[in-house]
Amino acid sequence: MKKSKWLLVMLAIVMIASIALVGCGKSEEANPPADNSGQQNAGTQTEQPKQEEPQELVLNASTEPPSLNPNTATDSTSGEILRQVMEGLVRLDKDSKVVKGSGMAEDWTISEDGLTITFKIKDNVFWSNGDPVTAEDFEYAWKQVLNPETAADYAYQLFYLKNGEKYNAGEVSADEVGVKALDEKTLEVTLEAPVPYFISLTAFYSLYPVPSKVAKENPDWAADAETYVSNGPFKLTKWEHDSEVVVEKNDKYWNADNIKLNKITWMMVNDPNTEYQLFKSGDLDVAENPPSDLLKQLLDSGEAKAPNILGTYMYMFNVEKEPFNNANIRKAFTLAIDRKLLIDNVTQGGQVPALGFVPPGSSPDLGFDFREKAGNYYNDADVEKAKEYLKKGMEELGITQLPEITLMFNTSEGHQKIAQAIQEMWKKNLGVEVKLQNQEWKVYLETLKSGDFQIGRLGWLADYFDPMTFLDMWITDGGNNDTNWSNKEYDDLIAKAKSTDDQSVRGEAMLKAEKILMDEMPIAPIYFYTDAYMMQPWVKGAIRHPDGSNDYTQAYIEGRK
Amino acid sequence: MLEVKGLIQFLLRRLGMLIVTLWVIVTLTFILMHAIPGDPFLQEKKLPAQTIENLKKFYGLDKPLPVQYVNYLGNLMKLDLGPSFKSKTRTVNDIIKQNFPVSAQLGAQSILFALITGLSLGVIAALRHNGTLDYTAMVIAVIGVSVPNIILAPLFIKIFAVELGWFPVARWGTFAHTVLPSLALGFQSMAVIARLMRSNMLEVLNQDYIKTAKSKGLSSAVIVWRHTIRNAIMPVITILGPLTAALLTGTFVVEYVFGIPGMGKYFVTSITDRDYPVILGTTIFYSAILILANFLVDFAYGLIDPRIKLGKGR
Repeated sequence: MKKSKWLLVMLAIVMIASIALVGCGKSEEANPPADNSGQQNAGTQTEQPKQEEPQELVLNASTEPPSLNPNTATDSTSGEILRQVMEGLVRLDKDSKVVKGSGMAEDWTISEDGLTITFKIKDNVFWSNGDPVTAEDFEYAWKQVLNPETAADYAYQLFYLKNGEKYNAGEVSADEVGVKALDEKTLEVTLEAPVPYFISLTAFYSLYPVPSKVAKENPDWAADAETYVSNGPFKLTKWEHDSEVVVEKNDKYWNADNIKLNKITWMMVNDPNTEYQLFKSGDLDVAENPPSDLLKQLLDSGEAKAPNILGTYMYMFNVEKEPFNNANIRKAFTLAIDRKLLIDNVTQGGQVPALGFVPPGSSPDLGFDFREKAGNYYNDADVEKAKEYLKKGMEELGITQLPEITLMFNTSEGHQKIAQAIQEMWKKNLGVEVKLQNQEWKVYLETLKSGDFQIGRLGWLADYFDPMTFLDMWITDGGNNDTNWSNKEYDDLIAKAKSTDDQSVRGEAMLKAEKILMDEMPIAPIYFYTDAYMMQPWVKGAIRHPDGSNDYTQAYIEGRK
Repeated sequence: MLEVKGLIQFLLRRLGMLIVTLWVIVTLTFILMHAIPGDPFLQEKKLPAQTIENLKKFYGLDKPLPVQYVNYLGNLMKLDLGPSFKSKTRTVNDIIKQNFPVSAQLGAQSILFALITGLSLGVIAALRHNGTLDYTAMVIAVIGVSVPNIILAPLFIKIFAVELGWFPVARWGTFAHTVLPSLALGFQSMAVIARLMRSNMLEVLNQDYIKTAKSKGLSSAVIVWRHTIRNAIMPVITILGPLTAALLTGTFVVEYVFGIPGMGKYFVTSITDRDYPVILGTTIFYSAILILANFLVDFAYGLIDPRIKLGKGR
């Protein structure tokens, strides 16, 4: 009796083992990619035997890039890959500045009124399939972005072009858009108004060229590695959806001699903890999302870095809802926040307390640092002043007790922690009870749009390197101005700054505008963002721009363990 | 002859039910999806109204809902599930074609693991009732049922990949990549099966016919194999249908933690993105698998227990 039971146990164990072995054999047959990558490695090494260590970089895109077609890409994941495989008229240098000859354009001239820019495209620039890069490729690409039938999210990035917005609305024909290939190598761009930062905008992926010959024949050219054609330092060689993107050095690139990396692989791992483990095990060269619970420790030990990027975390007041229809009440709530305490104890990512709205470092072309010149508009955690403002505001409103106040944010642990801390600060510093309410992301966006909130969370990241990307959002009826705040003088100053390419006039107008914004305070700036990351010590030459974008085209590997 | 006729009737009835069920699911999902607030094209940095209009036109959302519904059903007949709003270069068909095989492999391995280990643990525990083996098996089962895989998965990575270095940390490619996620995914099902099998076995072992068999002098092995397991396994087969469907179509958590290119995440992210075609497409696909799995389970009943006739049913 006993014997047979043991027999049964043994049988079960044998069954498990045998099934596992069967699975093993089958799966290896079914999964040749691992072998392939091995061969690719070997192949690369035999081609360049002189190289001491493989010049290969492994990065994490976190998620599948939604589009690698410059015409329809809109997100940072796609943007990072595009930045390495494509190239616009210029490529920004390590200080995020425009350098002549850094991209497809050899040179350009700007008309006196600042409205016409004529780009001369280099002679020796080619697509990865050998075709020359022409002015027509730019004209075609830009018009594709604006074409209403393309339905590109980022069409507005090209509304600077004359008739760009009208063409997108179907009011004028494509021929009337302000971009024209005068000949193979000359591109004439006509703007609606002078845009002093337009040249640097051409480094953005919405303004990249597309291989017009290829795209006309096959509109789905950008959907697959096999049909993908690029003009940048790297070419797309593998795109396994939701798994990995591989790019390899593009020998047809004009500056190929100065590109040291042979290969970049992006894995797609979304979980910060897994990403961290991959980084620790050496499988990953750069980790973009250090786990929040380890961040402080990693920053303190120097394993992670957190440089400033151009972005502001803030709360918005709906100026049409009581009691925030009163500027003094808004000021009271803003001044009562202890930003340093919040950063040290809650966010712990080395952020900078925001005592103004425009983040530092956002004005490379203005001739001065905007934040430095504008200075601070208030002190952090100025409780006494906050109390005074609250008293004054309540008197102005003729109330002795504040109505019920709710702070709204989109569902996320990080936003929740910040909201709880600030709720506590308002209670302690102002004696005000504020309720918290979270909503799912799209519902939250809908709520903000409909104006059905009193205080709401918002983060704003720069679209380009100029304070304007922060300031023009608060104009009356601005698409992103959910505060309902409106100020004629502010609108006029923004319009003035937009009408000229005289940097000193622009700078002055924008400084004045920010002062009005901070006097009226429809928003409570909280902190300026940092972008925490971890990079293996053997990765050299990687450029991290303050808008959060990365350029690995000058990167190389040295001393990999 | 009668058997074959019955079988054909059974299959036809099931096919009819499948189509009606799927239609109901499509319609309900369509209505619910449009009822939840939040526009698919609403973003933190808001798009100009004109661009949203262009996008709606591009995806046919500018038409009235009933028209959209009829169009969708028309395309569905042609097995065209439409484009993804989020992935600009992929259709829902692409997503299913490319991501389902990964989820299916992972799911199949985890079911295999859950079934073999679960049944073995259950049988052993029942045969060694109140013994050390029984307690050990049930402790494992309790852990499996109570610890969710969002905890189990990182724990497996920490122990077996980082500390012991036996398996890769994450991602997909070789068999080694599949082991930890299969275990993490199948662990809970394994525990459920083990507990179910144990209690069924104990119940069957106390039945009179077992005692009769014993008194007739049949060997324990024969009793266990022929009379106990065969009778105790039926409830396990019942839960196997939905279990298989759930595991085959992928789970968000395990795919997220291990960075696996499966389909599970699309069930979740398509809703948060309001990616209508992906919401509908994945729901229909999941439902079809579920219905198919249940059908196979019913079929398996007939094979295991000859008393259940396929032709006549409820």
